[in-house]
Amino acid sequence: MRNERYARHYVLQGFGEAGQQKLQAARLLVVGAGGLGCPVLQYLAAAGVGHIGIIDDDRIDLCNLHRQVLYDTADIGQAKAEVAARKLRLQNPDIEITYWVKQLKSANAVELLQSYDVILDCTDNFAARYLLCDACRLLDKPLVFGAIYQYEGQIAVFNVADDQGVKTSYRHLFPGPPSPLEAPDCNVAGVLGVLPGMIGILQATEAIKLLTGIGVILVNKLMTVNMLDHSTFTFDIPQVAPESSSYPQTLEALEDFDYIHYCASADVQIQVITATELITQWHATDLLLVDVRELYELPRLPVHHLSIPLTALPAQLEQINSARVIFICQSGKRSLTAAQYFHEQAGNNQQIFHVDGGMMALKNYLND
Amino acid sequence: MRVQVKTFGALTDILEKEFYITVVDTEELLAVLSSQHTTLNHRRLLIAVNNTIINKPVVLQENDVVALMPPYSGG
Repeated sequence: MRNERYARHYVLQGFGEAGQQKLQAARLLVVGAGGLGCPVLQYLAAAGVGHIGIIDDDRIDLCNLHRQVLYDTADIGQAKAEVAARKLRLQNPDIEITYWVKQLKSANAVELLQSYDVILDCTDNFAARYLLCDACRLLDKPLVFGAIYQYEGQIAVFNVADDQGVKTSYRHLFPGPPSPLEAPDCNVAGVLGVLPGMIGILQATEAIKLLTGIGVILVNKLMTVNMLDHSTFTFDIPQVAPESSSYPQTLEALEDFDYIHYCASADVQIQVITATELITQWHATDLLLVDVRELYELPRLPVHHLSIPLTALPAQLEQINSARVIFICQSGKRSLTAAQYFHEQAGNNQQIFHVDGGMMALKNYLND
Repeated sequence: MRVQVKTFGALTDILEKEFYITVVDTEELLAVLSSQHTTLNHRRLLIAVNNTIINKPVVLQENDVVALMPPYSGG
Protein backbone atom coordinates (compact mmCIF):
# COMPACT_ATOMS: atom_id res chain seq x y z
CA MET A 1 0.00 0.00 0.00
CA ARG A 2 1.38 3.36 -1.03
CA ASN A 3 1.83 5.99 1.67
CA GLU A 4 1.66 9.58 0.42
CA ARG A 5 4.31 10.49 3.02
CA TYR A 6 6.95 8.74 0.90
CA ALA A 7 5.66 9.93 -2.51
CA ARG A 8 8.97 11.60 -3.39
CA HIS A 9 10.84 8.38 -2.63
CA TYR A 10 8.45 6.35 -4.82
CA VAL A 11 9.09 8.60 -7.82
CA LEU A 12 12.84 8.82 -7.16
CA GLN A 13 14.65 6.93 -9.90
CA GLY A 14 16.72 4.10 -8.45
CA PHE A 15 14.78 4.13 -5.15
CA GLY A 16 11.06 3.69 -5.78
CA GLU A 17 8.56 1.53 -3.89
CA ALA A 18 11.12 -1.26 -3.62
CA GLY A 19 13.55 1.00 -1.76
CA GLN A 20 10.81 2.27 0.53
CA GLN A 21 9.69 -1.28 1.35
CA LYS A 22 13.26 -2.17 2.34
CA LEU A 23 13.36 0.81 4.74
CA GLN A 24 9.95 -0.16 6.14
CA ALA A 25 11.19 -3.70 6.81
CA ALA A 26 14.42 -2.58 8.48
CA ARG A 27 15.37 -2.55 12.17
CA LEU A 28 17.95 0.07 12.98
CA LEU A 29 19.58 0.94 16.32
CA VAL A 30 21.00 4.38 17.16
CA VAL A 31 23.42 4.34 20.07
CA GLY A 32 23.65 7.86 21.48
CA ALA A 33 20.93 10.51 21.02
CA GLY A 34 23.20 13.55 21.19
CA GLY A 35 24.79 15.69 18.49
CA LEU A 36 25.11 12.90 15.92
CA GLY A 37 22.08 10.95 17.13
CA CYS A 38 19.59 13.83 16.67
CA PRO A 39 19.98 14.33 12.90
CA VAL A 40 20.39 10.58 12.37
CA LEU A 41 17.12 9.89 14.19
CA GLN A 42 15.18 12.72 12.56
CA TYR A 43 16.12 11.78 9.02
CA LEU A 44 15.79 8.03 9.46
CA ALA A 45 12.38 8.45 11.11
CA ALA A 46 11.30 10.81 8.33
CA ALA A 47 12.57 8.36 5.73
CA GLY A 48 10.30 5.65 7.11
CA VAL A 49 12.72 3.13 8.63
CA GLY A 50 10.22 0.66 10.03
CA HIS A 51 11.71 0.11 13.45
CA ILE A 52 14.16 2.44 15.21
CA GLY A 53 15.79 1.70 18.55
CA ILE A 54 17.38 4.46 20.66
CA ILE A 55 19.84 3.95 23.52
CA ASP A 56 21.03 6.85 25.67
CA ASP A 57 21.27 7.28 29.43
CA ASP A 58 21.99 11.02 29.33
CA ARG A 59 19.64 13.91 30.14
CA ILE A 60 19.14 17.07 28.12
CA ASP A 61 21.30 19.99 29.22
CA LEU A 62 21.07 23.64 28.12
CA CYS A 63 24.53 23.45 26.55
CA ASN A 64 23.35 20.56 24.31
CA LEU A 65 20.78 22.68 22.51
CA HIS A 66 23.09 24.53 20.10
CA ARG A 67 23.59 21.27 18.22
CA GLN A 68 21.06 18.68 19.45
CA VAL A 69 18.22 20.10 17.41
CA LEU A 70 15.62 17.48 18.33
CA TYR A 71 15.27 19.01 21.83
CA ASP A 72 13.58 22.16 23.12
CA THR A 73 14.45 24.39 26.03
CA ALA A 74 11.45 22.95 27.89
CA ASP A 75 12.99 19.45 27.61
CA ILE A 76 16.01 20.29 29.79
CA GLY A 77 16.53 17.71 32.50
CA GLN A 78 14.55 14.97 30.74
CA ALA A 79 16.03 11.75 29.37
CA LYS A 80 17.23 12.16 25.77
CA ALA A 81 16.09 8.72 24.62
CA GLU A 82 12.58 9.25 25.99
CA VAL A 83 12.16 12.78 24.56
CA ALA A 84 13.62 11.68 21.23
CA ALA A 85 11.16 8.78 21.02
CA ARG A 86 8.22 11.06 21.84
CA LYS A 87 9.16 13.63 19.18
CA LEU A 88 9.91 11.04 16.51
CA ARG A 89 6.50 9.41 17.07
CA LEU A 90 4.91 12.80 16.36
CA GLN A 91 7.17 13.27 13.36
CA ASN A 92 6.24 9.90 11.88
CA PRO A 93 3.48 7.88 13.58
CA ASP A 94 3.78 5.15 10.92
CA ILE A 95 7.01 3.71 12.34
CA GLU A 96 7.80 1.80 15.50
CA ILE A 97 10.21 3.26 18.05
CA THR A 98 11.76 1.55 21.06
CA TYR A 99 13.99 3.35 23.53
CA TRP A 100 16.18 2.53 26.50
CA VAL A 101 17.26 5.12 29.07
CA LYS A 102 20.37 3.15 29.84
CA GLN A 103 24.04 2.98 29.06
CA LEU A 104 25.30 0.43 26.56
CA LYS A 105 27.54 -1.90 28.57
CA SER A 106 29.46 -5.11 27.96
CA ALA A 107 26.82 -6.97 29.94
CA ASN A 108 23.80 -5.71 27.93
CA ALA A 109 25.35 -5.07 24.49
CA VAL A 110 24.60 -8.43 22.90
CA GLU A 111 21.01 -8.43 24.13
CA LEU A 112 20.38 -4.85 22.91
CA LEU A 113 22.13 -5.15 19.54
CA GLN A 114 21.07 -8.65 18.57
CA SER A 115 17.71 -7.96 16.91
CA TYR A 116 18.84 -5.02 14.75
CA ASP A 117 19.98 -5.04 11.11
CA VAL A 118 22.20 -1.96 11.25
CA ILE A 119 23.77 -0.13 14.22
CA LEU A 120 24.74 3.55 14.21
CA ASP A 121 27.60 4.68 16.45
CA CYS A 122 26.58 8.15 17.61
CA THR A 123 28.39 7.86 20.96
CA ASP A 124 30.71 10.42 22.49
CA ASN A 125 33.40 8.39 24.26
CA PHE A 126 35.99 5.74 23.45
CA ALA A 127 34.72 3.13 25.91
CA ALA A 128 31.38 3.04 24.07
CA ARG A 129 33.05 3.16 20.66
CA TYR A 130 35.36 0.20 21.33
CA LEU A 131 32.52 -1.75 22.92
CA LEU A 132 30.32 -1.15 19.85
CA CYS A 133 33.23 -1.97 17.54
CA ASP A 134 33.89 -5.33 19.20
CA ALA A 135 30.24 -6.23 19.75
CA CYS A 136 29.24 -5.49 16.15
CA ARG A 137 32.25 -7.38 14.81
CA LEU A 138 31.46 -10.43 16.93
CA LEU A 139 27.73 -10.24 16.08
CA ASP A 140 28.56 -9.51 12.42
CA LYS A 141 26.36 -6.40 12.36
CA PRO A 142 26.99 -3.47 10.01
CA LEU A 143 28.14 -0.46 12.06
CA VAL A 144 27.84 3.07 10.67
CA PHE A 145 30.46 5.07 12.52
CA GLY A 146 30.60 8.83 13.02
CA ALA A 147 32.84 10.93 15.26
CA ILE A 148 33.53 14.64 15.58
CA TYR A 149 36.16 17.04 16.88
CA GLN A 150 35.66 20.83 16.90
CA TYR A 151 35.22 21.47 13.13
CA GLU A 152 36.07 18.02 11.73
CA GLY A 153 34.30 14.71 11.38
CA GLN A 154 35.05 11.07 10.54
CA ILE A 155 32.59 8.65 8.92
CA ALA A 156 32.97 4.95 8.04
CA VAL A 157 30.92 1.78 7.58
CA PHE A 158 32.35 -1.24 9.39
CA ASN A 159 31.67 -5.00 9.21
CA VAL A 160 30.32 -4.84 5.68
CA ALA A 161 32.14 -6.94 3.07
CA ASP A 162 33.58 -5.34 -0.06
CA ASP A 163 33.73 -7.09 -3.47
CA GLN A 164 36.56 -9.31 -2.21
CA GLY A 165 34.66 -10.26 0.94
CA VAL A 166 36.94 -8.15 3.16
CA LYS A 167 35.46 -6.51 6.28
CA THR A 168 37.18 -3.99 8.51
CA SER A 169 36.44 -2.38 11.87
CA TYR A 170 37.43 0.68 13.93
CA ARG A 171 40.37 -1.33 15.25
CA HIS A 172 41.85 -1.32 11.75
CA LEU A 173 42.09 2.46 12.14
CA PHE A 174 42.99 2.70 15.81
CA PRO A 175 43.88 -0.70 17.35
CA GLY A 176 43.48 0.68 20.88
CA PRO A 177 42.23 3.81 22.64
CA PRO A 178 44.25 6.99 23.17
CA SER A 179 44.71 8.68 26.51
CA PRO A 180 41.70 10.95 27.18
CA LEU A 181 43.78 14.11 27.01
CA GLU A 182 44.94 13.25 23.50
CA ALA A 183 41.37 13.24 22.27
CA PRO A 184 39.30 15.70 24.28
CA ASP A 185 35.51 15.44 23.88
CA CYS A 186 33.05 18.20 22.92
CA ASN A 187 32.64 19.27 26.57
CA VAL A 188 36.30 20.13 26.74
CA ALA A 189 37.26 21.02 23.18
CA GLY A 190 34.04 22.67 22.01
CA VAL A 191 32.23 21.88 18.77
CA LEU A 192 30.69 23.93 15.98
CA GLY A 193 26.95 23.35 16.33
CA VAL A 194 26.32 22.42 12.69
CA LEU A 195 29.16 19.86 12.55
CA PRO A 196 27.27 16.88 14.07
CA GLY A 197 24.36 17.76 11.77
CA MET A 198 26.61 17.34 8.75
CA ILE A 199 28.29 14.16 9.97
CA GLY A 200 25.03 12.66 11.29
CA ILE A 201 23.31 13.20 7.93
CA LEU A 202 26.22 11.45 6.20
CA GLN A 203 25.77 8.53 8.63
CA ALA A 204 22.02 8.46 7.99
CA THR A 205 22.71 8.50 4.25
CA GLU A 206 25.10 5.52 4.49
CA ALA A 207 22.49 3.65 6.58
CA ILE A 208 19.77 4.28 3.97
CA LYS A 209 22.08 3.17 1.14
CA LEU A 210 23.04 0.08 3.11
CA LEU A 211 19.40 -0.86 3.78
CA THR A 212 18.18 -0.20 0.24
CA GLY A 213 21.23 -1.35 -1.71
CA ILE A 214 21.69 1.89 -3.65
CA GLY A 215 24.92 3.70 -4.45
CA VAL A 216 28.43 3.04 -3.22
CA ILE A 217 28.84 2.55 0.50
CA LEU A 218 31.85 3.75 2.52
CA VAL A 219 33.01 0.17 3.00
CA ASN A 220 36.65 -0.18 4.06
CA LYS A 221 37.04 3.55 3.71
CA LEU A 222 37.30 6.39 6.19
CA MET A 223 35.90 9.73 5.09
CA THR A 224 36.86 12.96 6.80
CA VAL A 225 35.17 16.33 6.53
CA ASN A 226 36.55 19.70 7.61
CA MET A 227 33.91 22.43 7.99
CA LEU A 228 36.44 25.28 7.99
CA ASP A 229 37.95 24.71 4.56
CA HIS A 230 35.36 22.28 3.11
CA SER A 231 38.07 19.71 2.48
CA THR A 232 37.09 16.06 2.43
CA PHE A 233 39.37 13.06 2.24
CA THR A 234 38.55 9.41 1.70
CA PHE A 235 41.18 6.98 2.96
CA ASP A 236 41.40 3.29 2.12
CA ILE A 237 41.45 1.10 5.22
CA PRO A 238 44.01 -1.73 5.08
CA GLN A 239 42.72 -5.29 5.03
CA VAL A 240 45.27 -6.61 7.45
CA ALA A 241 43.66 -7.50 10.76
CA PRO A 242 45.13 -5.65 13.72
CA GLU A 243 46.86 -7.48 16.56
CA SER A 244 44.17 -9.22 18.55
CA SER A 245 45.47 -10.30 21.93
CA SER A 246 44.22 -7.41 24.03
CA TYR A 247 40.51 -7.34 23.33
CA PRO A 248 37.58 -9.79 23.31
CA GLN A 249 37.48 -12.46 20.59
CA THR A 250 34.22 -14.08 21.67
CA LEU A 251 30.84 -12.80 22.85
CA GLU A 252 31.44 -14.49 26.21
CA ALA A 253 34.73 -12.61 26.66
CA LEU A 254 33.03 -9.38 25.60
CA GLU A 255 30.42 -9.66 28.36
CA ASP A 256 33.15 -9.66 31.00
CA PHE A 257 35.34 -7.00 29.41
CA ASP A 258 35.61 -3.65 31.26
CA TYR A 259 35.79 -1.06 28.46
CA ILE A 260 35.81 1.91 30.83
CA HIS A 261 38.91 0.61 32.55
CA TYR A 262 40.39 -0.45 29.19
CA CYS A 263 40.11 3.10 27.85
CA ALA A 264 41.20 4.84 31.05
CA SER A 265 44.23 2.60 31.54
CA ALA A 266 45.58 3.50 28.12
CA ASP A 267 47.28 6.20 30.11
CA VAL A 268 49.18 4.97 33.11
CA GLN A 269 52.40 6.86 32.74
CA ILE A 270 52.96 10.58 32.96
CA GLN A 271 51.50 12.37 29.97
CA VAL A 272 53.04 15.46 28.46
CA ILE A 273 50.76 18.24 27.21
CA THR A 274 51.55 21.50 25.44
CA ALA A 275 50.63 24.98 26.61
CA THR A 276 48.04 25.25 23.82
CA GLU A 277 46.46 21.93 24.78
CA LEU A 278 46.32 23.12 28.39
CA ILE A 279 44.48 26.30 27.41
CA THR A 280 41.80 24.38 25.53
CA GLN A 281 40.82 22.45 28.64
CA TRP A 282 41.89 24.19 31.80
CA HIS A 283 38.31 25.08 32.69
CA ALA A 284 37.27 21.41 32.71
CA THR A 285 35.68 20.54 36.03
CA ASP A 286 37.36 17.16 36.45
CA LEU A 287 40.79 18.71 36.09
CA LEU A 288 43.05 20.18 38.75
CA LEU A 289 45.97 22.37 37.77
CA VAL A 290 48.81 22.32 40.29
CA ASP A 291 51.50 25.01 40.14
CA VAL A 292 54.66 23.62 41.78
CA ARG A 293 56.65 26.86 41.54
CA GLU A 294 57.51 28.95 44.57
CA LEU A 295 54.79 31.43 45.50
CA TYR A 296 56.83 34.45 44.37
CA GLU A 297 57.48 33.21 40.81
CA LEU A 298 55.73 35.18 38.05
CA PRO A 299 53.57 35.29 36.03
CA ARG A 300 50.87 33.62 38.12
CA LEU A 301 48.28 31.40 36.43
CA PRO A 302 45.13 33.27 35.35
CA VAL A 303 42.80 30.35 36.10
CA HIS A 304 41.78 28.36 39.15
CA HIS A 305 44.66 26.19 40.40
CA LEU A 306 46.42 24.91 43.49
CA SER A 307 49.75 26.41 44.39
CA ILE A 308 51.98 23.80 46.02
CA PRO A 309 55.74 24.42 45.71
CA LEU A 310 57.58 21.20 44.84
CA THR A 311 59.25 21.06 48.25
CA ALA A 312 55.84 21.20 49.96
CA LEU A 313 54.23 18.52 47.74
CA PRO A 314 54.85 15.47 50.01
CA ALA A 315 52.91 17.12 52.83
CA GLN A 316 49.96 18.22 50.69
CA LEU A 317 49.23 15.18 48.49
CA GLU A 318 45.71 14.68 49.83
CA GLN A 319 44.64 18.05 48.41
CA ILE A 320 45.13 16.67 44.90
CA ASN A 321 41.99 14.61 44.49
CA SER A 322 40.58 15.28 40.99
CA ALA A 323 40.29 12.71 38.19
CA ARG A 324 42.91 14.54 36.14
CA VAL A 325 45.88 16.39 37.54
CA ILE A 326 48.14 18.68 35.55
CA PHE A 327 51.41 19.85 37.06
CA ILE A 328 53.03 23.03 35.81
CA CYS A 329 56.19 24.95 36.73
CA GLN A 330 58.34 27.62 35.09
CA SER A 331 60.17 25.52 32.48
CA GLY A 332 58.72 21.99 32.69
CA LYS A 333 61.46 20.38 34.83
CA ARG A 334 59.96 20.59 38.31
CA SER A 335 56.50 19.74 36.97
CA LEU A 336 57.84 16.44 35.58
CA THR A 337 59.51 15.66 38.91
CA ALA A 338 56.28 16.51 40.71
CA ALA A 339 54.20 14.35 38.32
CA GLN A 340 56.54 11.37 38.77
CA TYR A 341 56.54 11.74 42.54
CA PHE A 342 52.76 12.06 42.61
CA HIS A 343 52.39 8.99 40.39
CA GLU A 344 54.59 6.94 42.73
CA GLN A 345 52.55 8.02 45.73
CA ALA A 346 49.03 8.05 44.27
CA GLY A 347 49.27 5.20 41.74
CA ASN A 348 47.12 4.92 38.63
CA ASN A 349 43.81 6.11 40.03
CA GLN A 350 44.21 9.56 38.55
CA GLN A 351 45.49 10.72 35.21
CA ILE A 352 48.67 12.68 35.63
CA PHE A 353 50.07 15.24 33.20
CA HIS A 354 52.72 17.88 33.10
CA VAL A 355 52.99 20.92 30.87
CA ASP A 356 55.88 20.85 28.41
CA GLY A 357 57.84 24.09 28.67
CA GLY A 358 55.78 25.26 31.66
CA MET A 359 54.90 28.93 32.15
CA MET A 360 57.64 29.95 29.70
CA ALA A 361 55.67 28.21 26.94
CA LEU A 362 52.31 29.31 28.29
CA LYS A 363 53.01 33.02 28.75
CA ASN A 364 53.09 33.64 24.99
CA TYR A 365 49.38 32.82 25.00
CA LEU A 366 48.39 34.91 27.97
CA ASN A 367 47.12 38.48 27.72
CA ASP A 368 49.32 40.94 29.56
CA MET B 1 62.40 12.20 -0.08
CA ARG B 2 60.51 15.44 0.15
CA VAL B 3 56.93 14.68 1.13
CA GLN B 4 53.87 16.69 2.03
CA VAL B 5 52.35 16.16 5.48
CA LYS B 6 48.72 16.99 6.30
CA THR B 7 47.53 16.99 9.89
CA PHE B 8 44.02 16.62 11.30
CA GLY B 9 42.06 17.27 14.49
CA ALA B 10 43.98 18.19 17.64
CA LEU B 11 47.29 17.58 15.85
CA THR B 12 46.90 20.98 14.20
CA ASP B 13 47.47 22.48 17.69
CA ILE B 14 50.96 20.97 17.65
CA LEU B 15 51.93 20.82 13.97
CA GLU B 16 51.18 22.99 10.97
CA LYS B 17 48.09 21.87 9.05
CA GLU B 18 50.26 21.27 5.97
CA PHE B 19 54.02 21.24 5.62
CA TYR B 20 56.84 19.65 3.64
CA ILE B 21 59.60 17.55 5.14
CA THR B 22 62.44 15.42 3.80
CA VAL B 23 62.55 11.91 5.29
CA VAL B 24 63.23 8.35 4.10
CA ASP B 25 60.17 6.60 5.52
CA THR B 26 57.18 7.05 7.84
CA GLU B 27 59.21 5.80 10.81
CA GLU B 28 61.77 8.58 10.34
CA LEU B 29 58.94 11.08 9.84
CA LEU B 30 57.44 10.20 13.23
CA ALA B 31 60.86 10.16 14.91
CA VAL B 32 61.72 13.62 13.58
CA LEU B 33 58.35 15.09 14.54
CA SER B 34 58.42 13.45 18.00
CA SER B 35 61.90 14.84 18.66
CA GLN B 36 60.63 18.32 17.84
CA HIS B 37 57.34 17.94 19.73
CA THR B 38 57.53 15.69 22.79
CA THR B 39 53.73 15.55 23.06
CA LEU B 40 53.69 13.40 19.93
CA ASN B 41 55.48 10.58 21.76
CA HIS B 42 53.34 7.43 21.99
CA ARG B 43 50.35 9.33 20.67
CA ARG B 44 47.64 7.29 18.94
CA LEU B 45 47.78 8.33 15.30
CA LEU B 46 46.42 7.06 12.07
CA ILE B 47 48.94 7.39 9.25
CA ALA B 48 47.93 7.35 5.61
CA VAL B 49 50.23 7.58 2.61
CA ASN B 50 48.59 8.83 -0.58
CA ASN B 51 45.13 8.23 0.96
CA THR B 52 45.82 4.64 2.02
CA ILE B 53 46.01 3.96 5.75
CA ILE B 54 49.19 2.05 6.69
CA ASN B 55 49.80 -0.18 9.69
CA LYS B 56 53.52 -0.73 9.26
CA PRO B 57 56.37 1.63 8.27
CA VAL B 58 56.40 2.58 4.60
CA VAL B 59 59.29 3.92 2.49
CA LEU B 60 58.27 7.27 1.06
CA GLN B 61 58.63 8.49 -2.51
CA GLU B 62 59.15 12.05 -3.71
CA ASN B 63 55.90 14.09 -3.45
CA ASP B 64 54.04 11.47 -1.42
CA VAL B 65 51.28 12.91 0.76
CA VAL B 66 51.27 11.68 4.36
CA ALA B 67 48.18 12.26 6.51
CA LEU B 68 48.44 12.15 10.31
CA MET B 69 45.12 11.86 12.12
CA PRO B 70 44.15 11.29 15.76
CA PRO B 71 40.96 9.49 16.79
CA TYR B 72 37.94 11.74 17.46
CA SER B 73 35.67 10.85 20.35
CA GLY B 74 32.95 13.50 20.07
CA GLY B 75 29.37 12.71 19.17
